[in-house]
Amino acid sequence: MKHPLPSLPDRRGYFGPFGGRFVPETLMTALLELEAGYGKVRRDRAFRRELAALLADFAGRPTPLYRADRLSEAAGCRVYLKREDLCHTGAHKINNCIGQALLARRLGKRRVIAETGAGQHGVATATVCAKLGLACTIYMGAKDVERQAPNVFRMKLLGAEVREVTAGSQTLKDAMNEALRDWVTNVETTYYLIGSVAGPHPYPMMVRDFQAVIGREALRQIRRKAGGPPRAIYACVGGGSNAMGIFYAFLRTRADLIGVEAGGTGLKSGRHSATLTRGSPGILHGSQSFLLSNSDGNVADVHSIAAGLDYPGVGPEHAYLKKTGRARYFAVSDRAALEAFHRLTTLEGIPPAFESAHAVAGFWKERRRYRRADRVIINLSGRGDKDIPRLFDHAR
Amino acid sequence: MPGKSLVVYLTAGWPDRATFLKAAKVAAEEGADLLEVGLPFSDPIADGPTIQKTSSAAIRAGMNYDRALDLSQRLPPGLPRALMTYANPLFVRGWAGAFGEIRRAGFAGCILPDVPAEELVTYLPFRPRGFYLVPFVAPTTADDRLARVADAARDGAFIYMVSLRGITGARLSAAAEREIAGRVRAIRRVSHAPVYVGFGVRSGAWAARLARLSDGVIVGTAALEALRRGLGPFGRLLRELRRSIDIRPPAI
Repeated sequence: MKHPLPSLPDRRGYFGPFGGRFVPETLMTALLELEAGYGKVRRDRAFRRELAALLADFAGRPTPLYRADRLSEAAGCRVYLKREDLCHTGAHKINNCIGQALLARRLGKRRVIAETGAGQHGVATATVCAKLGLACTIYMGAKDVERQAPNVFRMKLLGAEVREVTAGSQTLKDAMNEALRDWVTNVETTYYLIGSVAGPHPYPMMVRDFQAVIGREALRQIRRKAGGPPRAIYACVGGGSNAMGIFYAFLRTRADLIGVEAGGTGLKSGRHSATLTRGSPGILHGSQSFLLSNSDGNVADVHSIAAGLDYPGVGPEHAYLKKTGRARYFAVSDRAALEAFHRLTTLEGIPPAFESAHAVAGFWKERRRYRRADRVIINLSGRGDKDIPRLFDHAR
Repeated sequence: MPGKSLVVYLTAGWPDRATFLKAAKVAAEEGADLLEVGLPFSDPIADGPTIQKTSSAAIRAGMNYDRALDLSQRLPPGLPRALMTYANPLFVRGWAGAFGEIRRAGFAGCILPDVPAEELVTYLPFRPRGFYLVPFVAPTTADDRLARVADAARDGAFIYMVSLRGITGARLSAAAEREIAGRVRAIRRVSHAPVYVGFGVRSGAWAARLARLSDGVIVGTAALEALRRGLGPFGRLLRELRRSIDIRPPAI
């Protein structure tokens, strides 16, 4: 099954009709420089060696592909977990941060800014900036600052300045608005380290490339360990970086690629962030993709128990995968994600992040599709430690 | 120095519909040459706190695409106007249909601050005859992109020169002024379109200095802040700006 995707985006940053560069003119020169700079380092041996060394010794790669025996037994097929939760800082976010921070240094930028929702990308950015000696400012919605307080403290310990965003819905989308405004103001000295496969070209491509290590490892590991390719791969999708990271190496295989979105309190309730399942084409934060917006084009308020999925947009390459049918997407509710959290914790001794619990829940919902010999990979993008305080509060 | 233009930005329906219409009338009386009507968008990334607030207040009060176009039919007929908004509100309607409706509501063109020239040129074929889309130039715009900008400035479009690295309402400096002068000279080499300078125009003194370098100035944040205090202060600000750009500025 040939697929044109590995060669996308095109020169203008488009994946079919999705992508592009929708930013104020002030940023255009910076984006063109970034594109040129990235084009240079992706072929540069010294850069690739430096990146590989940091991924191995700083982030802890390769992450294991773990055969989840008790979950397999309960589900009736062979389930493998890609253990991104074992990465330094607790999630796959670090892969992209190392790559982009090294690039920032090459471009001569001494200051890095980033947006964060759950705080995972903020923590990963602050961590890499500490390691490389770069000044770091993190934008975070006031609502997220409150519900992810331990991560805010962690970012400050790492030397980052955390700027609380009180505009709009006070979540990830507003943090990204504010980070873009900062970048417009400080464009020549500052590197904007976007945490997902979203934003203007070249970010969706570049973040995908830095996360594609997940899928390359998984493809090698499943062939060696399980003797053959997977029937299906499940990953959660907010902006979509962990999903794109694991999907990319499998685009030309026969594996079903399945993205699981946040269904919140139910798709009919209107309190969800199931952009691909329920949204329509739109333009936000630099690219044309799917979006949850109303008939006036104003961006909708979204909800998920997982702060990292609480975003009204999605990466343009996912929109393209949906349109071409190469991947499919559906949503699971907050409740199903919580059940999956408990299932994985009690069956395998692995508490997943609420975000990743959506991928587990999506698989669980569809487990009867698979036969005993079928191999299924779930991308366990992050660990649940950050969410345990909320469960503790809830239990009391 | 005759022939310099004064462009005034107002957020549609802010602070309320009646005051918005009265402010437009005052703008016409005080000699504004173009009214920039902002169709409020939920996520205005190019705008500072003032326009963010007027936009969200207008949305909360029920302002939307249909109402903004309806309301615009009642604007002073002699005052040309352009619609300023972001890409998504027009994208969800379909570019061609939206441009036609906006044209019929009396607008001469559209200003889309999150659509750079590379994307803008792909929409040019969807415009009705004589309707323009305004391309931007920033202090960071490299010379090799100016031809692209010039190409997008068709059918009476002006070029929107962003005065500084930043968002609307930021502070201007003498260094910014030198940079603007350089950019305007570079634009003149590739385009005959008028160049209006916006972002950070707060006083008569600045308006005079920027108008001397260009074909006119755009005032937004300062106009809204004056309008918040009332129609009187709003009118006085416009009078000061008009007078400042019409006379030769004093040496600084």
